[in-house]
Amino acid sequence: MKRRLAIAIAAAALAAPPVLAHQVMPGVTGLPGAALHTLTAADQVMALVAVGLLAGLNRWRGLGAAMAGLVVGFAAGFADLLYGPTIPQAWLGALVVALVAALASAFNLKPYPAVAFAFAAVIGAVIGIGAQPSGETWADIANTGAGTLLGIVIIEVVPGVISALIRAGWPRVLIRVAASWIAASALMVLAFALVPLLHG
Amino acid sequence: MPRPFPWRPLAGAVLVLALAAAPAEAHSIKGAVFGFVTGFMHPLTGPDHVVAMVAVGLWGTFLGAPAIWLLPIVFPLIMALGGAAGVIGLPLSHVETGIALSAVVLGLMVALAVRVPVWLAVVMVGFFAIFHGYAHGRELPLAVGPMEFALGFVIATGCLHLAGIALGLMARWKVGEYVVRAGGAAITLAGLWFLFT
Repeated sequence: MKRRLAIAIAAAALAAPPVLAHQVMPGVTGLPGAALHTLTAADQVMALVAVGLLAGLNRWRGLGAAMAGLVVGFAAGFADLLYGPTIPQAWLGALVVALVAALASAFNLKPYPAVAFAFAAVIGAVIGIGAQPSGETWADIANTGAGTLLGIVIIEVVPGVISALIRAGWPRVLIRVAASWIAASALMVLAFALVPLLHG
Repeated sequence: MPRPFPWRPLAGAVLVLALAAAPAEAHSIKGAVFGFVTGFMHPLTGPDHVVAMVAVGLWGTFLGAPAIWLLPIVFPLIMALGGAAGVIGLPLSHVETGIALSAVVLGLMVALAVRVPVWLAVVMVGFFAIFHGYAHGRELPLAVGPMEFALGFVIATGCLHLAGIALGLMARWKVGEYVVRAGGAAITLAGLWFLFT
């Protein structure tokens, strides 16, 4: 029964409609809007899913480390956005994390908790740097920060729990196949991002 | 007592292929390339891609574990390397020939039920994956949403592998094995058609 449920969840996750553009949902503002916002950035979603899948390989220790890394990284990135210098091309970090974490997950490499923490911290920081508040008041900043953090924790926890619970058999193979899809997509978009550098 | 014929897997495979079916139009993208849907449709609108991907799944099933799951994991990764080469603009000649040859060779492997060591299967499939990826990668710079385009065509390719695996599971039954091997022969003929037309 548990296995069937896990397969159904994995199938539902794979069948989820694609994210087509990085736009705020019309009519949804404040904390819920911020929580949903990350869903509209395919590269960030893929990186979060990849890190979740990888961290889940080390079960609850890995997942706990990834959660901690995500929170710390996001706090640092958000603070940088508000008070620090602009970091150019930070979004490439999400692609690199997606590629490496998904590759490791595809080949079933159990990560050290410190590695899960580091990957999650990088993607958290990238998202934090891009989490532009919807206004200038403290309420706007708090809504954006808390909402975005809530959203990215959920996006990382769900695949992480699935990965932690499914240890073997066909469902595990499907997870590894999905991870290879993420790695492949991230690799090509990284190449796409490198084109201007290579060709001037 | 013989096991009952696997109507359910067969019906599932037919359903997947039916959902993946596309109108028989030329394999070209006119105008701008848009996001996930365009990326997803790209492999599905090229019959040469479709038959070769299904052949990968079918052959993986014939080879059994670990090839049955290793090939669908390795193929997208090596395909992405080819795709990256296409995106960057590295030269690669005879791409369409390579794609057509992949259908011929992989179809033959299925038709003749050829069993090779896993590493050799990975090398063969990986070699052809470069050509498939390169063809997709050349379209990526035109895409409005490159991330979504890449994700779309990788997932579509993976779905074709899974459809091939689902169909290949019929080979556990004698009549199913004949059907699968006949499918491999048909893929080879289709590959020859692509090669010489």
